[in-house]
Amino acid sequence: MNDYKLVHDLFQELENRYYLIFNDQRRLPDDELAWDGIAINEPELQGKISDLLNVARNATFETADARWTEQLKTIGENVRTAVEEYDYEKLKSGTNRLYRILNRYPSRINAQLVTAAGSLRLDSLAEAMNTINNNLSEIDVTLDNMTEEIHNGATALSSLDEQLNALVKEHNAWQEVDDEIRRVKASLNRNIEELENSWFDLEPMTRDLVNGQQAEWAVSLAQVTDKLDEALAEKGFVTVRRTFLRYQSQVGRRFRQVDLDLLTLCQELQRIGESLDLVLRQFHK
Amino acid sequence: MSDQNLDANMDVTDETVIPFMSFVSFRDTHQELQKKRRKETKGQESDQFWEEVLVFLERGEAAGAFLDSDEDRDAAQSLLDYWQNQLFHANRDAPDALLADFDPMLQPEIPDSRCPYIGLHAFDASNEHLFYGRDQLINQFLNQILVSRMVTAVGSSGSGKSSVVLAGVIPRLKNGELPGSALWHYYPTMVPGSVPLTNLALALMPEGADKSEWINQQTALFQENPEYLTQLIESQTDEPAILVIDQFEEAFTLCHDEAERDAFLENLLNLIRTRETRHVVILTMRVDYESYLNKTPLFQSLYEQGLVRVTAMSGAELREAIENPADAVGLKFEDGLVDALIREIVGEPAALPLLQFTLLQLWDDRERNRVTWEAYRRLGGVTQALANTADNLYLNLLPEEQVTVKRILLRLVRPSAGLEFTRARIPRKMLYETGEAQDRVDRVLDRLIEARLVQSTAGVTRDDDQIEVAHEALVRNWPRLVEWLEDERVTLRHRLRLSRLAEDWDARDRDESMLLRGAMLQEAAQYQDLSPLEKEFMDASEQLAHKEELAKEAARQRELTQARQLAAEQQKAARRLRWLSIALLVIMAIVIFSVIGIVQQSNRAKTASDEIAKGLIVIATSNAAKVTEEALNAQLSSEGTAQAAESEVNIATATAAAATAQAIAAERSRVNSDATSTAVHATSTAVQMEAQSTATAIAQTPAATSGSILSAGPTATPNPEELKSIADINAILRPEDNMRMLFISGGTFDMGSDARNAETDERPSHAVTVPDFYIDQFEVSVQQYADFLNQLDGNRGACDGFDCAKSQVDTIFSNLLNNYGFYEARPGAESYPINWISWYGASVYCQSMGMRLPTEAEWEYAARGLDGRSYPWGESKPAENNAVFGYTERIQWAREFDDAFLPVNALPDGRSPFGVYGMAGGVSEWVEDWYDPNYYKNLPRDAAANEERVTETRVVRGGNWTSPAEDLLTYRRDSLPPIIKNPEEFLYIGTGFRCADDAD
Repeated sequence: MNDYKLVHDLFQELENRYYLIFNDQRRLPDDELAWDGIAINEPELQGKISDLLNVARNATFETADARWTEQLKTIGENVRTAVEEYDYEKLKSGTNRLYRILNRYPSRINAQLVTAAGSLRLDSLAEAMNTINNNLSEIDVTLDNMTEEIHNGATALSSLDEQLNALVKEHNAWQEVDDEIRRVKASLNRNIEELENSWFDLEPMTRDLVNGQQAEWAVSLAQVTDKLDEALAEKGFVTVRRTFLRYQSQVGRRFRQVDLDLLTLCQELQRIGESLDLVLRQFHK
Repeated sequence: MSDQNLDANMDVTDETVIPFMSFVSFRDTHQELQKKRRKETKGQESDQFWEEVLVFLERGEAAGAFLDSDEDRDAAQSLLDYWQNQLFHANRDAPDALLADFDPMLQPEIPDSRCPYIGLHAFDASNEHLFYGRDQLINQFLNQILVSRMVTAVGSSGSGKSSVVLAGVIPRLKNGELPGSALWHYYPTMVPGSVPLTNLALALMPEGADKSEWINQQTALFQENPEYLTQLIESQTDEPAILVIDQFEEAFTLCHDEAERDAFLENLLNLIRTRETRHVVILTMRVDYESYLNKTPLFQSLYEQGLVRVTAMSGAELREAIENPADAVGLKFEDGLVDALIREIVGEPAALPLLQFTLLQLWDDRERNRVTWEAYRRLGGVTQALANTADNLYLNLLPEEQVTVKRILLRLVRPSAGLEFTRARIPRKMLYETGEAQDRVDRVLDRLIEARLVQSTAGVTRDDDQIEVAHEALVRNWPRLVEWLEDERVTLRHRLRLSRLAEDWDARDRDESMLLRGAMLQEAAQYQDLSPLEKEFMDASEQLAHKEELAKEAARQRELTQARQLAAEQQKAARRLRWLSIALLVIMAIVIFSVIGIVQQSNRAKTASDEIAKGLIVIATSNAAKVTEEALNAQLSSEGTAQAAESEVNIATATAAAATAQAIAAERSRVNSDATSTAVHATSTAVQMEAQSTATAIAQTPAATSGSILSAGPTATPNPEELKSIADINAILRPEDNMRMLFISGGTFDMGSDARNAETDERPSHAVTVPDFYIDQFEVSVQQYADFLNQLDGNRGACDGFDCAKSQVDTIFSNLLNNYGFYEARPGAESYPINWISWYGASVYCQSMGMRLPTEAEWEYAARGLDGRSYPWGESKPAENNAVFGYTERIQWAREFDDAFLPVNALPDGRSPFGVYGMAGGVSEWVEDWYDPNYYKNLPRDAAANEERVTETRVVRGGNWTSPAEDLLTYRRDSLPPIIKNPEEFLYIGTGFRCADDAD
């Protein structure tokens, strides 16, 4: 789980670095001064790529789709060369390919993370604890506190299991929304047709996620969703684009938070699960 | 077969992958997949669905070969990434779908017949489907039609005003965009040309009518009846009529027949005002000709109410104009190229023709369906495309064909306001008049037409085809042509000047004083393509020149006769004087001998005294005779004057008197006889009086008509008409700048004044004698000064080390323009007096003409004449009809500068006694003198300039447009530093000058 969390965080940071470079790149080739900003951010980008590649060597990702690591390595080299040679076309090619990596692989890593979370089998742990409790009763070991504790533990584990499932479900839902948003954003420079088409799916997906929620993020996201809906009805390109970017930003923030919550929970549960697993083995012996 | 049909018929196992041919089909298929997915259960999509996704990915990859723009490629790749992720989330194999590289050789060809751009031509109804980017302006125009019966699209040349109307407004009206407009009656568009009534008639001509008969009838009816246009239209249709008049300014610039123009305008006005049916007139007009409407106040009012200004297109509008026609035929621009085109011309109101020309060239140079950066760079961008194309054509011609191109193009342009040139439309046959081989002219013309630089409109015969440059953009943007025009500018400018002079002459009731003379007449006689007005002007000028020549000859004969008469009279007078002198001598002798007799009778004994007396008498007599003889000789000599003769006779008389007195005194010492003394004294006094009266009679002999000094005394004052006549008859023309110089007969006049309103430096009044001299009849004009500066090739420090003048570069209150070192008059101000002149600027100008500035005495004499008048025209106060003055408040200057000046030959009521114009108000005039406030106290008697530098200023005379009335007095003195240091001081806002010269 640690590896998944690390990769997740690194991809997030890599995406931030990408946008810093991309914003300067857009001023090229007319504004040669843009190269100064790019030169400042490029080493940071290389650092994140290097960190990612290091983590990717861990056993966790052995069986996973590792094409992205080769691609990322090549992209890093191309971007470095482009910056050294002030080659605009090469830089554009490199960042375009990096954008593809960011569009595709974080989503897949997250899917793997969710799968890993599912493999924690908390329900099984809870059932195992009940088994332990029952076994203790049969051997007539008077361990009053212990059985109560074990019972409470099992109950807590069930609750955590529900919590985890809920988080996993929410995470998957946000992942879907994020996938749609990434696709739409690429077309938004041309026109709003893709957004208009996707809104048919995006809007209900978003409403499902915010409805019944009182938290500030939900209220804020509900409002911007309303505004985007209105803007699309009026078809003003500039208004739609601006509102969409705010919508995207809020979705991204919430998605990252859910991501973080899930990762944190998974890490803790993993530790609990490992400990309990050890105890159970002892019992079986 | 469309992409959609391909999808429907697609066999997924088919190995041939048919790519999406465009991003649109790519996206459409993606959206179809989304729709299908919505119908399936999420998370449980069918295998068939995912197979379709795989096919989509394959086709999408291959589509990369057809997608060239970054935007399309980014969007397409994101669609591929999205569906790859969906496959991954569905636990299915997700191929790494990467867009194929763009392959230009796979792009479709677009046939030439589908060209979406029109080059330098204006849009019209035939290509309205290619006209984009003006929706907002068209809406504005349509809204204006709802409230105004005359709507005018006004803009600079090249702003697209004709296109907006013909390809924007009219088609939308015909489509019913306004209530009922689909049923309105639309006449063909007309252009006024030089015969607006004829062209109007042509626009209204029904089918089948005999053309020449129709034109003759209708033009006559238009002239007779200002309501006729309305009646004609209402006989042709019951619906509201729309009449479009393109290039409306031609009614003023090309039509020289005022009656025809007036009839044209009146008919239009009445059409607009008709109450029964709401007819509408739509005009297009260049903004630089707006001022012509000032001549027709009623039209101007309607114009202002229905004005729609055609301004530069915004970036978004330009993008529409470029991309929408391209999209319609599938033409694509490489990334960033449209932005580059827009950047070059955004904000430039006159660049649209250049843009269209460039787009057309780029279309010609396209690679299959793409316009490339390489083609754009080869062309040189929007600003160079036209010039490069024209240069390429020119350089590929034979040398003799290059000469022909030059001649053709110079015939197709004419100078207009300022530095501008506008295109002219001439029949093909006029191009044959250059004398070149006709086939070469045709060959070259065809090349120009093929290159779309020149256009030809079919006439009745080929010779009648109307030829013109495709657009004025060529005239402004092809440096080679600009250079040719610059070289020809002087000739063209003079040619235009002839037109303007003719128009001015016509406007001022054909005043004779405005006709051409001398060198200008000789030059103008060379021009061949004269308009009817110009021909009349030239004929009148030649007739006047002939008449003046005859008058001069007659005057010469008269002078000769008068001189002979004078000589005869002088001889008579001399004879008379001689006889009088002899008589005087005889009388003196009688007196003396009488005295001697008396003395002898009384005292014969005093022999010695007698001898002395005799000797004295002989001496006195011979002296008197000698002096008298000398006086006679002086009178008859060429330098002699009556006054000289008079003074000499006076001397003779006095000498005789003295001799007599001496004789008497000598005798009185011997004869103490009072009676004798008295008698002798009385006799000698009588002799003196007789001699004196003889001298006076001689002095009264009339002077010759040339070369005589006039006296201001009551016995010798010619009247102003005589002075004017003398000045005019003997006038000369200065060929260097075609300035007329009047001959000012010399005389003695009272300079200065002792009147109550005279300033201290104008006192006392004193007699000054001025010899004959010449002076410019008019102040030096703006155009004359501009020509001078151009010949001088400079202004800064060019006049004896000092700046000659200030132009509009330095101050807005100048009519002199400085266009990168070429000086020109502000349009309309050519004949205004030049202002903002330094003393050095005035002096060097005159010297360059072989002249000088007038002295102060000469100036005042020329302004005042001999009768001591307060103003050049007399005693009445300054008024609008005799002087430009009174703009005393600075706040007036900014508002009224443009209107404050008048041509140098305006206001004949303000002329001086010698017929000199503009000596009061308008501009103050530099004279030669240094200013000395106490100069008059020395009672200078001659007309020489004061060379003593008592102050650091030179004298200026006459007052100017900013002066109050009292500063226009003929004796009013003023002064300024000779160098203009600080234009903000406005001291020179009204300084000008005229030149003078000695009579010999």
